[in-house]
Amino acid sequence: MGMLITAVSSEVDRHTPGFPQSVESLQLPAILPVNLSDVEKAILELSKQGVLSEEDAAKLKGFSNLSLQDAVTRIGNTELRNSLLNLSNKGVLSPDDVEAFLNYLSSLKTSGALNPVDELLALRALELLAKANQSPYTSRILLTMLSVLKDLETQKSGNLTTFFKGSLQSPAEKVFQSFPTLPLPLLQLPTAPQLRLSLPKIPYSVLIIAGICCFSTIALLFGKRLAAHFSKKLNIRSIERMQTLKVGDRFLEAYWLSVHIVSTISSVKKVDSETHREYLARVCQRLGPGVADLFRDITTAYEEYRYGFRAEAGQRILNGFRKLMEHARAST
Amino acid sequence: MVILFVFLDNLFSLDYSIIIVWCFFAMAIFDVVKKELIDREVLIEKENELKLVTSALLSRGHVLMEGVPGVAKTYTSKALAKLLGLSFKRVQMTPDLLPSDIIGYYVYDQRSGGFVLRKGPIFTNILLVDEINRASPRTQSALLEAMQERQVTIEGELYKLEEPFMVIATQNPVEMEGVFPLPEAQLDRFLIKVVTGYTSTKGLVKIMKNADEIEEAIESLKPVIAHDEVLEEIRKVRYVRIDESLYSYIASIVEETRRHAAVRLGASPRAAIALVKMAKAWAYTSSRDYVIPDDVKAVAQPVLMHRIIVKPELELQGVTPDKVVEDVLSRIPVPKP
Repeated sequence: MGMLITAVSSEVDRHTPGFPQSVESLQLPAILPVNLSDVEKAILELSKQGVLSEEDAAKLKGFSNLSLQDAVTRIGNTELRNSLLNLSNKGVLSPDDVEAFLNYLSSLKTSGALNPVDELLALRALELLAKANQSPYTSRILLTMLSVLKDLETQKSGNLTTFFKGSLQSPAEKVFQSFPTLPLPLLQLPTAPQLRLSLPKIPYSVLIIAGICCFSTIALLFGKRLAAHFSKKLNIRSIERMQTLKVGDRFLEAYWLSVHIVSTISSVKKVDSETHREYLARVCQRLGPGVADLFRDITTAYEEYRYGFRAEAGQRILNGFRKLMEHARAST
Repeated sequence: MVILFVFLDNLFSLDYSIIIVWCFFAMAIFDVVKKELIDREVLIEKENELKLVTSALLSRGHVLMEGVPGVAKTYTSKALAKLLGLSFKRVQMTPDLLPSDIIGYYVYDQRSGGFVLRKGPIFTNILLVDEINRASPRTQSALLEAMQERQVTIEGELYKLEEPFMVIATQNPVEMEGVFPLPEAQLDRFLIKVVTGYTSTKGLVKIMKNADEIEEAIESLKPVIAHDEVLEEIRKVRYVRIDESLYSYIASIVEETRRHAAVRLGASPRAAIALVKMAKAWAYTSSRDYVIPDDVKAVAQPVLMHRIIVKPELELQGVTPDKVVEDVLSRIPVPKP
């Protein structure tokens, strides 16, 4: 045990490659797919509620069917429009380009130079470009659109609609609450809240020692009983396989095998200096009444056969042994 | 009889031995004694002592009873003698008792003008010698010689003692003043030593309640077995079977008493013979015609206890002969298979 602990404690931390070592570093990679039609439905909902002005609603009309050209044309911010044109002229979009553009949008928004409608149109244009380049950012762009709409609604009404409440909740909250009333899919935002729980780093040596302690405790509590049970089974099986006890007399063999069986069942071993009756008296206290009577008959027959020279008692030993064997098989 | 056996065998497919065993135990002596004395509560809590004394009688041996006064030593002997239709006499040993007071002597008869033999109390079947250790060594020797030889010589004439002849000698283990302890060689003449103890509280209450009835019951006991039948029983015990392996077992026990670290003097060959005899008688009184290891163990203490001398230094530490025997029995394996 000491050697094992020393060996374990000397080792550096190991972990399965690719498996996160802490909860903190664990990112939620999966983002549920969002359709463009969902965004359009949200726009329509906001228009109905009066969150969007008529002008804005007109700009966003047919949002899902807008072409790149239309989207760019409808954007009021010239700088943004030029940036998008430059991006479209670039041809192939890399993930870094998309990321950079999104950051650019974010900076414009922060500086207050970007209204939500322009942002939505810009995102629509970016989404079209990303789709043309088969970029994996499409979903993220769509979710950003929804986020923009949510901000818009918050600014105008101060309250979240049922739709946004449902879609913008954390995954944990979603599990326990009802689904949104709007016919929208279950959404999960990319900025899903991360678990900030930081588990202390436990050395493997401590874990192994704790494991050994737990195992030892369980073994102490249940091991003996289980081991005794299996040992009984094995012993009974070994008797079945045993052809002869090398006594030279099948009746005497039957008696000694019976002793073996009852000692296995009761866990009371016969002591060499103990007479057959003394053993009988001792073992009967641990046997059931049926087996005890059976073994009593066998012992009496053995005495008659062995010391009383009664040949007919031999058959009684044999019969008793067979019954005892059947009982042992049935009980284990 | 043989024809009857063959007939029964053909008729019921019976084994001869079953019939023989039935005949053998038809008159089991101890069953009768037990029924009359133990079951009827004439002797309370004395079954083991009674069985040992009966076994000793069937083995033609003598008994040394050790116990404090008032534990029914005399009652046991008297009741047994009465039940078995045997003559019973009692001698109270004193330091001035002479050998002739026990074995007898010649006296001059004025009418016949010659000497006539006045037989001593030894001419009986069961002789109770009370406090044997109070008699002088000379008297003890004369008695013990008669016990061994089963005959006495008076004035040069040899007299055979009546069969069965058994001496039940008692000695008080407490009193040491004015006593002549029996020498080891003479102790060896006793087949067994029975230690009689006190009864339990429950038994004592019964004795107190029925003291008068018990006394009357003993006085009014009638023989249930004839004298000749007792002799026949003694003869039968000789034919109790004992397996070869049990002889080895007995020999191992006896030898182990000599090798034991706490023993100064172990059991003699006479002890081994006594063990065989008593085991046979014990088996017989247990309604068996064969000896089992349990019989040997049951009689080992009474047979060996008084034949073993423990080293004095260990005796002071509380090691007693019965503990030695117990230790020996726990070490010797019983015959296998």
